[in-house]
Amino acid sequence: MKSCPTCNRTFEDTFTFCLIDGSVLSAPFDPASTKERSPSRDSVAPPTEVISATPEPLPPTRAATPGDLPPTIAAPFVQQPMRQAAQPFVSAEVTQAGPVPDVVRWMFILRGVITILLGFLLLLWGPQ
Amino acid sequence: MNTGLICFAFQDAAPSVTQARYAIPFFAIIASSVIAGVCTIFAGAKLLSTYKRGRFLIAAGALHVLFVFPFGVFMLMSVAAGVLEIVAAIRLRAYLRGVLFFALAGVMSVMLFVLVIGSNPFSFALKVLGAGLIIYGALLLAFGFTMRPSRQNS
Repeated sequence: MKSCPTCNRTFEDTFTFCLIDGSVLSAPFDPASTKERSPSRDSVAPPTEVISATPEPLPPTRAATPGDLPPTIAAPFVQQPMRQAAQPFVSAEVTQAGPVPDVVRWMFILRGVITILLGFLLLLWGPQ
Repeated sequence: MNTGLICFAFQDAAPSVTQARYAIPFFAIIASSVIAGVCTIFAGAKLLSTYKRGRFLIAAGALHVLFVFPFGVFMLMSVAAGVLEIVAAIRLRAYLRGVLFFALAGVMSVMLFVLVIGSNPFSFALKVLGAGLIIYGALLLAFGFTMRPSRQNS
């Protein structure tokens, strides 16, 4: 069983938080043993422990070695689809249209050639 | 302003025009205008089916085919066709690259009217018309060779 330190309600071991106030439940305990021990609970405060003024020396620090670190696990590589750059807005009518028909180009080229020939004729022609 | 040229130009059967010495250039003008008109109508129809744009081009081509004689009407047709070509170039600029040359050709077509009407005598006017047509044809050639689908469209 677990107990809530705030409302003192008990819950099953599967619970982690109190369903009433949301507090973290205490560590699991055996209610039977708790009941047995509760009457013999000593109300006398434990004696005050005196901590020595001189702290115990800490172990010397050392640089971490690769052996201290857990081995890394390579993530499986998954091919991601390439993202295309943002395209400017184009109306559907424009994007659906195909390339310029070659016949249009040749029509204008033919017209240009004929016009140039006519121009040379008029330029070089003189009344007899 | 060559008022005499204007008077003679709008006469349907001006004696000077029907003279044999002007037969060759006028036949050439009529023939080339009809061929250019047919080419323009065909190109306009193709562009109409591809880009839903080309009605102004077809109209300009129809003018080239229909109004070739007398000479004054031909020159007025040149102005109207030039304006239609400029409008067509503006409408096609979203679909084609190189339409600037076509717009300049339209401007040249409009300017030809002013240049020819302002020239005197008539034989000199024909030479001015010839020089203008060379520039006009060169612009059409440039348009034909530089015509590409717009970058959006490629």
